[in-house]
Amino acid sequence: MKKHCCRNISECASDVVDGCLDEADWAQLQEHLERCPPCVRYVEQLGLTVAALRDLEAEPPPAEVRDELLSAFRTWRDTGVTPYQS
Amino acid sequence: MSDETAPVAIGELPDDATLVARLRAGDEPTFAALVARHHGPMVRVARAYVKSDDVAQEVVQEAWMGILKGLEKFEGRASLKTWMYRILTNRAKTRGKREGRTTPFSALGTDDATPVDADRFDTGGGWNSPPAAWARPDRARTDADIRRRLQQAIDALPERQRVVITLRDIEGLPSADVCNVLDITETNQRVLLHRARARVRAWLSDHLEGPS
Repeated sequence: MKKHCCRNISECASDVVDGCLDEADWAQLQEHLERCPPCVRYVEQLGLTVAALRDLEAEPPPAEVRDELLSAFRTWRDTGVTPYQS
Repeated sequence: MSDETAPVAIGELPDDATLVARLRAGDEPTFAALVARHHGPMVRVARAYVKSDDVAQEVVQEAWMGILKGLEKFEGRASLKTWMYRILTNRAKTRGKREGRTTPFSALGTDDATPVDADRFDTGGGWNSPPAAWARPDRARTDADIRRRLQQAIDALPERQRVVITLRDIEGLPSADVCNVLDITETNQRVLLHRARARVRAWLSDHLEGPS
């Protein structure tokens, strides 16, 4: 982190969430956060954002696509051949 | 036949060794569960390489066949997911080239002219407009409507940001694997991920701001 201004904090917030800041950067960041509630809020909100993304539910494919894939799976299982492969 | 294997939540799939053994043994419910879990994100990733949604669907269907065909040779050096995405992006690249879409993923621009939130800081780098509190911040994870629309917010991201955030945060691939699958540098990946997350945070803010 070049300079511990709020803009820089927001730019490395993503690394903070991933826990991949090195020790020196982490120490500087802590120092800034102790006196800057808006930055604390930003980092917390980014963490919540990532948490929400991580537990987004799977979106299943359309039924006809799924059925076609399962039928292809059975063909592969029974004959060793995979259909519609370019 | 396969209706009992409808939506699968993250974390419900068994470990790679079990998955691979079951697939090799021809276990259809396992394949159905894998498709339910990964097909959607795979289409989002493929879409960045080809011209239309229909072609992206086709590429993903072909990739599934490539995955079945390659299963025998899967050695578990990378995670099953990473291996699957490598097969997908190779196919998507080939298809994109055939379509005349020749710009490689890594050569595309940074996707947006100014960093997200840039106008929120004064010239000294302090907040001009500090982030507002979220009303009941847990709604980001619990409100069904917000969660459904979160996917639309991801779809509205610039292409490369959408792909990186899908692989990192939705599919949970480690950073090194994402760089490898997409053939981009670590720095590039970090910038794209940061911008994507910042945009999604801003979107959530628009829906959640208010007294907590």
